[in-house]
Amino acid sequence: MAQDHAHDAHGHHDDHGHDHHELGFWRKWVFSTDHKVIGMQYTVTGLAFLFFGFMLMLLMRWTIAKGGAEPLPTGLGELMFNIFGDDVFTAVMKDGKQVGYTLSSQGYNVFGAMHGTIMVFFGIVPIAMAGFGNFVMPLQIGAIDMAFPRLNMASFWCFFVSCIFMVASFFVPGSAAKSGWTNYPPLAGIADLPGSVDASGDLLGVWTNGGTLWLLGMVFNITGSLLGSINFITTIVQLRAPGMTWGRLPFFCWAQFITAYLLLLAFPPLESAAVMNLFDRVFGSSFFQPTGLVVTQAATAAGIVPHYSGGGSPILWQHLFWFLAHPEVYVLILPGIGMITEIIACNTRKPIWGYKAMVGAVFVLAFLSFIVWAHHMYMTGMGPKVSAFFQTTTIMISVPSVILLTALLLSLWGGSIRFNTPMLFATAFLPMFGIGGLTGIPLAFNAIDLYMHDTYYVIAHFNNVVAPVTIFAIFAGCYHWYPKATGRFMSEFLGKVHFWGSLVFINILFFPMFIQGMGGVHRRWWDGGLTYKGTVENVLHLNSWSSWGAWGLAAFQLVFVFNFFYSIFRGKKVPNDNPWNATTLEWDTPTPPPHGNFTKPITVYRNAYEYSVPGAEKDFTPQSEPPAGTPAAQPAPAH
Amino acid sequence: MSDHSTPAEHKHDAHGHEGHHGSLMSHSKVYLIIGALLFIFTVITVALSYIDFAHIGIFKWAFGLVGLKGDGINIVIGLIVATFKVCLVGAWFMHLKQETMQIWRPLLFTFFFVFALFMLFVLAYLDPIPSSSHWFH
Amino acid sequence: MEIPYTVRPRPDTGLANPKLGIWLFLASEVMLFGGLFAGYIFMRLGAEPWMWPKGWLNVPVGTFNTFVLILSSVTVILAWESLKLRNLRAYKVWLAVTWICGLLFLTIKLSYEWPAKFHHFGAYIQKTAAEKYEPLLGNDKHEGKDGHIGRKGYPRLFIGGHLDLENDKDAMKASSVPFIPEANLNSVLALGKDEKDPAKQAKLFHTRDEMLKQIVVREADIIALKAPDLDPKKKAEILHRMNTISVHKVDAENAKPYDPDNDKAHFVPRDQVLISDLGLKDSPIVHSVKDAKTGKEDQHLIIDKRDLVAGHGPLVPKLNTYLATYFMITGLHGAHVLAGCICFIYFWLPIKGGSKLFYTNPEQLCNRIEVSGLFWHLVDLIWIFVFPIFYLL
Repeated sequence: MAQDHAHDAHGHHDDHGHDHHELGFWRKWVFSTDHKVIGMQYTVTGLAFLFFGFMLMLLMRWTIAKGGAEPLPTGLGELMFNIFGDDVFTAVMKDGKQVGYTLSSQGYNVFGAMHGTIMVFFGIVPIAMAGFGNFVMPLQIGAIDMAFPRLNMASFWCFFVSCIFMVASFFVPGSAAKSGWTNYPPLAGIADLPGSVDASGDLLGVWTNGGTLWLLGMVFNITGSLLGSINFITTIVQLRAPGMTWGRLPFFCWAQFITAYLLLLAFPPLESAAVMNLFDRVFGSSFFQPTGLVVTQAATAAGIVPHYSGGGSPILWQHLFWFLAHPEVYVLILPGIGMITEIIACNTRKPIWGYKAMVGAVFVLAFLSFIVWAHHMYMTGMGPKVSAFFQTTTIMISVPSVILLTALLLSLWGGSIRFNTPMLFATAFLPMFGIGGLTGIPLAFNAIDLYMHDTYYVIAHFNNVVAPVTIFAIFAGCYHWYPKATGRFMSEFLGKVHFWGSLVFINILFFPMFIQGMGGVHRRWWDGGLTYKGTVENVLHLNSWSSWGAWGLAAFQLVFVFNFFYSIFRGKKVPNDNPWNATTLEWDTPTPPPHGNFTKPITVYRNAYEYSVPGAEKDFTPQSEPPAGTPAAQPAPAH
Repeated sequence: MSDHSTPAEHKHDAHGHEGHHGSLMSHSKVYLIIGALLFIFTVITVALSYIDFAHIGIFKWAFGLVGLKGDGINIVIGLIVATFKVCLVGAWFMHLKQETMQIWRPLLFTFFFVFALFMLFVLAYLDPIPSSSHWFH
Repeated sequence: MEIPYTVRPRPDTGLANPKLGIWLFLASEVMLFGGLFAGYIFMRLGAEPWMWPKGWLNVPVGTFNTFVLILSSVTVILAWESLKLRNLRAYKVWLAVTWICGLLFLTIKLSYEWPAKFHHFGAYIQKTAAEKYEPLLGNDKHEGKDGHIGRKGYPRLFIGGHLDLENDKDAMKASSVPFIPEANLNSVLALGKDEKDPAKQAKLFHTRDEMLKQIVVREADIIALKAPDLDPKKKAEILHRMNTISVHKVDAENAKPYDPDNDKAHFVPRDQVLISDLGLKDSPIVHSVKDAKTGKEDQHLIIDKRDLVAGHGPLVPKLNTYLATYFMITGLHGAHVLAGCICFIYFWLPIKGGSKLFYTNPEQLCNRIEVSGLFWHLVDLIWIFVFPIFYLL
């Protein structure tokens, strides 16, 4: 039906749109200001980083499972050694003979830190927020583009520069940052100290060392995110099509709106902290270096005593970091919930149950997420009054989370569910979100957290919230919106193989970690705990379970990668512009949408999820369909 | 949400615009007066910093009630004057006085979160667990 | 294809896109500086009271800069007002005043205020060694009174003075070098000695030399230390030289009498004054040195680095957390001023996006000035807080 309009409206649009016909390859696909191209740039860059970060973890899981003693499979070890160098990989000797290479203990720290950083800041946020948000959100609100298209391009290129910093940091003396993804000082201030020597005898430069490059990368990443979130909010407030009131806004847009606010207000304190940390590293100031810091630099051949005046506070970094990083958790999850909501509504052929409650819950969630951050810091010697405050707010924040989960779960009730690939991922999302969320509740309590802190329990909890929840949502989104972006479906069969394999192996990967964590296995034991065997002997055998889970999971991701590229050329073509029979506006555009998106004036007449309306002819009524008896699409009123 | 409050805001906005075109001279005058006030309060800030409030009985007593002493009194007084100046800039120069709720809403949240940032930082600093009381004399 | 509401406000929100965008940006700026000020609060709460200085900055200059910024805030709004009245001439005048004020502010910062820090030198004496240096610290004269450099009621442990950058090119680098334990130096010197592979050895030697450059002051010392058969006595002498710092030359003839009551501590060349006034010529910590070129006799104050708290050297972020926060916050603020100036100059120049826009779309130019003006007011507003917390309190 949208195609019918496409032709007669085309002439009307030619006079406006002639500029985009003349755009060359570079302006169209590389330095583009079109929100859809930028969205795809973000998604592809983000997916690349997602797999890169995952690969780092696969190598770490080898070390953990084999106790750090076994060489990597022949060929792989040599390859890794040649890529990453001797700061990260080390030769394994057996009977005086070199038998291969494996991750060194320092390399484990590097990979651990970079896995977290890359997955959170370079994988998920760019895909779920910037990628899908950019592509889908303006379409859903009926806008022709973002409010500030050039700013949009600037945010992507800021992000791209930060990517270059992060990747480059693997190839400087001393390799990339190694102080954890949280980059806690004082370690973050003195690791990779400029002027010290790395494993191969190279001198670390003032700017070219892992720690400093990490901070520079973060500064650019944050700047890009801030510009992007300004753009998102302005677009949603200003560019909604006529009739698209706040109450008719699809939930995905609400999620993006709130996420943008979270980024806008939570990211700047981390930016200021990153600048302070840069000062510490480059100019030798002492924002985070306490008085009387004594450092023995066993890692360097010859240590230079770092010169810090002292008087700083490592706790300050933790405050500023977690002031961002707790809202960041919701930045990771909210766009995911938004995507899942769209997919559930579409595939149950039923309105979302409790739309208003969900929107309200997201508001409360966002507000509370700013005042819960110190539950990550119970170990810092925080007193009972303050920790009581943070325990209370943390428990309070579980209420809106449960509202979201309940509403989505109840939306399934009584629906005639289409179990296509996106819906399979969406249905798996719900219980996994439940497991990930509920296991977080014990961690909210000071008394339990003191025991659980820094164990695999925390790792399992966090990864359970992110991997089988947000990343599953990203996969669901990929399968769901792929036809709109390319005009072809991804293969259903391969999609189902990908789904079932991922679901099984991701649980084999993370579930044993809960047990290990409660058994006391620490998250930073590079040999998987062999050194502390006496204390955790009963749960050490689970290391190889988790590792097999990770490798199996990796094998099934190859199916996705293949499917993603194969379907661009060989996927089944979409029958029309609205292949899922969905109601929201993005399906009202030609496939793929041209520069300027809509080929007809868009007016919105109804709520976002009018599926199976009693008495209607079809089981879905698009938002732009006028009520019976009204003349069809009038030109938008001039302002 | 916003569409409910639209008519009122719109009217208000239109009124503001008319105000601009109708009596522009008086507007310039207001800006100059605010500028002059800012100059005067800058001088006052500098002057106040040379007074040692901790040695003036009434201030020592009054601020002692909220637990402030020594330099703390000067700091709080200095910051109160600075906040007043900031309010002048915000209200008149940045037109927050006649700004719509669309602008105010995110700003109110921002102020709240900045306040939370400061307060909770300081509270966390001042509330160490009892056994580590050496931290804080 | 044109984005709607770029100039005219959307009826139901009452806003044009740029205005909402800039306010959101300002909100994030408030959070950014909120984080920085939170850093200030923590640094100040955590600093030993005698380490948080007062009176290091020039209050009249700072006040003048405040006036300059406030003036520019008034003129930018007058420029906007003139555009509303469609008065291009007045607009150009007011906007020119604005960006000239901005550049004046930056000039004062970069040509006077910041360099002044690099030309001064300071060192914190360990509490345990305070007695040895007491005549220079002047605490005995301050009994029961407020020290100006140390905070109220705490002994002053800070020695400061001018740094003559012309004559002591290495001084800045050298003076901030920490005390080097002999063991560390030995391990640096041993780097690459036992390496068999010549290529690797050359690399390690290069690394060693680079490291030595960071920690040793004189080229001659580097060469001497690398000699394989170094006399232990000579080595000890070199090490001693490395581990002492020399606070600038003393000009005994032109010294002014020291008056602790009028010591505003704006870096009176304390070393001169104190030494001549208190008759310390024969003190063991002051040495007479004959200048090789002029033949004039100068006095050097020699402080053993082991008597110092870690922080000593030129007044750079390394010295203490006060200077670290000072440089960071004023630096970021200065970057904002620069950004504002660039925008204003762009809108002022007779180019397509600048004042020529007046003839085609005056309302858009008006919006641009309003939006950049809002940013400029925020910059002013931040300075209103920065000025008292660093200069006055």
